[in-house]
Formats: sequence, structure tokens, C-alpha cells
Amino acid sequence: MVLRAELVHSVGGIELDVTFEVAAGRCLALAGPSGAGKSTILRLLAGILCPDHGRITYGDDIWVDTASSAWLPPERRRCGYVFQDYALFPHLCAWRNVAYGLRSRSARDRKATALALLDRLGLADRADAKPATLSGGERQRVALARALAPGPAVLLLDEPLSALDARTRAGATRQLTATLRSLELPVVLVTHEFGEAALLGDEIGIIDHGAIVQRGSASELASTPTSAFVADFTGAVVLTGTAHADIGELTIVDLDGGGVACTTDRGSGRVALSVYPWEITITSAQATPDESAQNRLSVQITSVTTVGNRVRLGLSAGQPLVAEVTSKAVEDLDLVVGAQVLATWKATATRLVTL
Amino acid sequence: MIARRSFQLLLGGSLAVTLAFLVLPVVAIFTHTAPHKLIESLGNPVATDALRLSFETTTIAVAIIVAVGTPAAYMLASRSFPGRSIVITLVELPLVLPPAVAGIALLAALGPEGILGGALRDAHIELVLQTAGVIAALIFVSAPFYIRQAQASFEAVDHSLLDAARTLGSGEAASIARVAVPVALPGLSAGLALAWGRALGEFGATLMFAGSFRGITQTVPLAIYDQFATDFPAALALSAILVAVSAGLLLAVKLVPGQATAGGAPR
Repeated sequence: MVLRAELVHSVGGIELDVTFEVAAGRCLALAGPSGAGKSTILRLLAGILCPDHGRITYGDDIWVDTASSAWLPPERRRCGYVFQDYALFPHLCAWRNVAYGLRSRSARDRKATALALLDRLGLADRADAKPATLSGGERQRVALARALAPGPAVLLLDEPLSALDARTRAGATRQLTATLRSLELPVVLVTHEFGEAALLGDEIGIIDHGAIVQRGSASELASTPTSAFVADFTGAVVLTGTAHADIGELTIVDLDGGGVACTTDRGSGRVALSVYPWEITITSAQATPDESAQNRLSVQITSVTTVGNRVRLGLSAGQPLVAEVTSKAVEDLDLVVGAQVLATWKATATRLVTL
Repeated sequence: MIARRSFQLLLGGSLAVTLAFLVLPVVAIFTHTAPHKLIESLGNPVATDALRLSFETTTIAVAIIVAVGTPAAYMLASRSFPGRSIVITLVELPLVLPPAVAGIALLAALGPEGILGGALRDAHIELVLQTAGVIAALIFVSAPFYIRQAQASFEAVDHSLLDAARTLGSGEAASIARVAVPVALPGLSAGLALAWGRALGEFGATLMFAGSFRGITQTVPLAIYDQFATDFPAALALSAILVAVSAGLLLAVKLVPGQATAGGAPR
């Protein structure tokens, strides 16, 4: 089943105008700064708001069509919705929150289904706790379980990780990624963090002032942004790998797809490294390396995109990588697609996140 | 140092005087007459009739207030419509009306010569000098206490909770019943207790609109007034009961859990 939406809606000074479709088993991450109209899109999809103009269809079902005045109320759309602040019912314990959407089942079946879902998300022992006594990470999982319990047609996630502290976030990200992979339904996620969109979304749409300004995979958006806004918004590039040893003050990471990188941050096991494109220096493959820059990867240029007065280079080093250089450097070093160059950056400019 | 100490004494002294003045009359009700005399006086048929009538009329009045006032308060809390602030002011008006004015107003509206007098007569509904009139007076003076509190409590309910209920398959009415009302319940209970307390103490409007007939319209406050010249202990005994019940209601308002968070002040 495919979720299709064409939405024109004016709210709070923002003229929202977006069109997208999401197939079952795919996650579209809509990323953009606060106030870009992201949450409004989810509210329109769920039927909490009615668009000024537009049409939403799920398979052959019409959820809303302003041209023919068709309207399906939210309670009949079967949208699993994880709200930004989770919106757990404060008067109900965790399992009753999860069981809320299971009205048509027998009492015993409702409880069993709710408990099974909580157990799957590692919350079996918190089933009788009221939301006020749950931690942020636990609330997030209860909200996810509640949204999934009735077997929704579509899953909508509003900043699912933003309310969590840094420590809880890594684990929650891993669990949410695994849960989303296992779902055979269209997922729409909104976030103000490109990193979150890159980790959770199969495809990312960058939203600015109510419009999707560019869409593509995380590496496409980072390496070939069509505007300075997208270039800035994409921020750091992420490389995944396995941390295997400490050498002195450095953590050595074997990168997925080949290559080794090091960082002054500590960590072990599965990790993600992040580095900003402007921290990466490009030199010709034969150049003598600068000793203070401790990361060195031999890479091939896959794209050259001018963004304002800078040039973004898409690089392939097993994993996609992005560097930002001046146009003078592009001329001097003759940086063209297909060229083999050396990308170097400092270990101190490399942040590590344990996955 | 000395100035500071004398200021502390001034504050403490003021509080002591305030407390003594407010509490002494209440204490006197219980100490003026021996307890066994008070209990004996409750056997007086005037007292038992008044207690029964007060219990019945306030219960019916509060039930009607909750049944009609809850949806009305939800409407005021959740919808914006033209003239909303005027409607809110009108609903609150009885709070500031002097009881005698309330009694006259009820007569002018619902009395035999009142605006709705003809319509009520055609429907064979008699209010003046009847128990039903007591209930009408009680509703008029105490409904605003409940509606105000209920409106504030509903406004304090996070709207995303109702949105969540909708996406989980509840229609609008079901979301209100299963989410908004339970979440606002501490505030609704507090409003109910306040309205009940006000109804129990109602005197002026009832006296003017329904009169003071034993067993029909003579509620406890009217019986106290009626008795205090002839049977002071009986009046005291009834007063003691009203004090106990009112204190109980006040305590219930203070002790309702979650009152501070979910009841909330009007936003």
C-alpha cells in the first residue's frame, strides 16, 4: 500500500505546499528547522487538521480530497502516531495506554497484546507504571507500542528522539531503527536533526518554509545539495564502523566498507563517527601527508557541486563521505568526478557516538 | 535586629488575631451546648425534616449541574465562538449577585407572573413555594462554582492527548469521555465540592423564591433561622452538622490528588 499526499495548507504564517508518496516498508524522513511546518504535515495526514486544499490517499482509500469534499475522520484512518512529547494518557498505566486502541478486542486479549508489545520493547516490568514515573526513554517506547498496538496502516513519528537525553538516545535510536525495519507499512517521520533523519529514514526530504526543497538519500543530500540551506542543514557526515582498540589517546575504528579512522573520543563496539565537511582537507593522492591530521582515506570523487562560494565534493571511500573546499582548490588540484584523491582530517575533529 | 524581631511579632500577632476571630465562632457552636444536648436536638422533627430536605435538594441540584454543566464547560473550554467571553461573564454573574437579588430575579423569571410563568403553568410545573423551587434556586446560585472550575480544568488538558485518542480510534465524544474527563477529574471533583458547599449553605434566594415550609422548602439554613429564636440548642445542633459537612467538603477539595496540576488556574 502506498500513502500519497498533496497538501496545501496555511498555518501560523507558513504556507505549506508539499507532495510526496511513501511505499509500504519505507520511511520518509522530513527534516527541517523548527517552524518549517513539519508537525503540521503529520497532523494533516492523521486527520487532526483538514488541509485548505489537497488530497491524501492510502492505496485505493481516499482519506481527504478537498475537491470532492471527501473526508475520513482520524479515528477511521488507522494512523499510528507517536507525538513529539509522546502524549501518554497520564491517568492510565503503561499497558492500559498501549491497550487504548484495542477497543474491539476482549479484555483478556487487549491486556495480552499490550503486554506482549511492551515485552518486545523491553518494558515488561514497567507495564503497571503510570507515565509520570517512566523515564524519557521508557515513555518513548510506550508511545511507540501504543501507536503500533492496533496494527496501524501508516506510522507517523514526530521528533521521536528529540525529547531524550544523549545517553538514552543511542539505545533508543538503535531500537527504533530495528523496529522500523521490521514494519511493512509506510512510515513518515519528522525531525529537526539531519543526523536523526539520516539514521532512521530510507529517504529524506528537506523542508524549509513549508516546501520540500530537496529529497534524496542522506549521502546524496550531503554530497550534492542544491542550495546553501540544504548544505548547512545536512551538517556533519556520519561514518559507521567498529571500534576495536585504543592506542594511547586515540580510539581506532574499522570503518564499514574499508578503511580505518581514529578519534580522540572514547568508545567501543559498534560506533558512528561524525565529521563536518569543512574539516576535511583534500590533497592529491601523491602529496606528503600533514602529520597533525591523523585521519587519511584514499577516496574517489563522485560529485562536484558548487554551493554559493564553496564547492561540495561527494566522495566514495567504501562509505559516502563529503568534503567542502574552495573553488580555488578545485582548480588548483583539478578536482573532477572520478579523480582519486586523499581526504584528511584531524582525530580531534571526529566525534564518536556508540550505537 | 530589634526592628526585625518586632516586625516578626507584628506578623505573628496579626495572624493570631485573624485566626481567633475566624475560628472562635465555629468552635463556639460545638462548645456552647453540651454534646449530648446537641445530639438530642437532632431528634427534633424540624431538624430531621430539614436535614433530609437539604440532602435531597442539594444532591438533585448538584446532579443536574454536573449533567448539564460538564458539557457546557467543555464547550466553553474547547471552542472559540463569537461572544464567548460574554457568555463566560454571564455564566459567572450569579457568583456576585446578592442572594436577595437572586431570589427576586428567580421570581421575575420563573414565578407565576414571571417571563416563563405561563409556560411553566402550561407544563404543570410549580416552582414557587415548592421543593422544585428550592432545587431551582440552588442550581442558580451554585452552578457557576462548578462550571468555572470545570472550564479551567478542561482548558488545562493537553490537546495532544485528545488528538492521540482520536488517532487510536475514539470518536470525538469517546475521546472526551475516556481522556478529557478522567484527566480533568481532580478539577471537576473540586468544582463539584465547591458547588455542593455553596448549595448546602444557600439561604436568601431559597427563602424569597421557595419560602420556608417545613418538609417542603425548609432546608437546614432556613431551619436554623426558624429555630434560633425558639429552640437555640436545635439551631446549634443543625449548625454543627453544617459546619462538619462543609469542613469535610473543603477538606475534600484540598486533598484531591493532582488538583494542583490538572485542576489548574484558568489560563
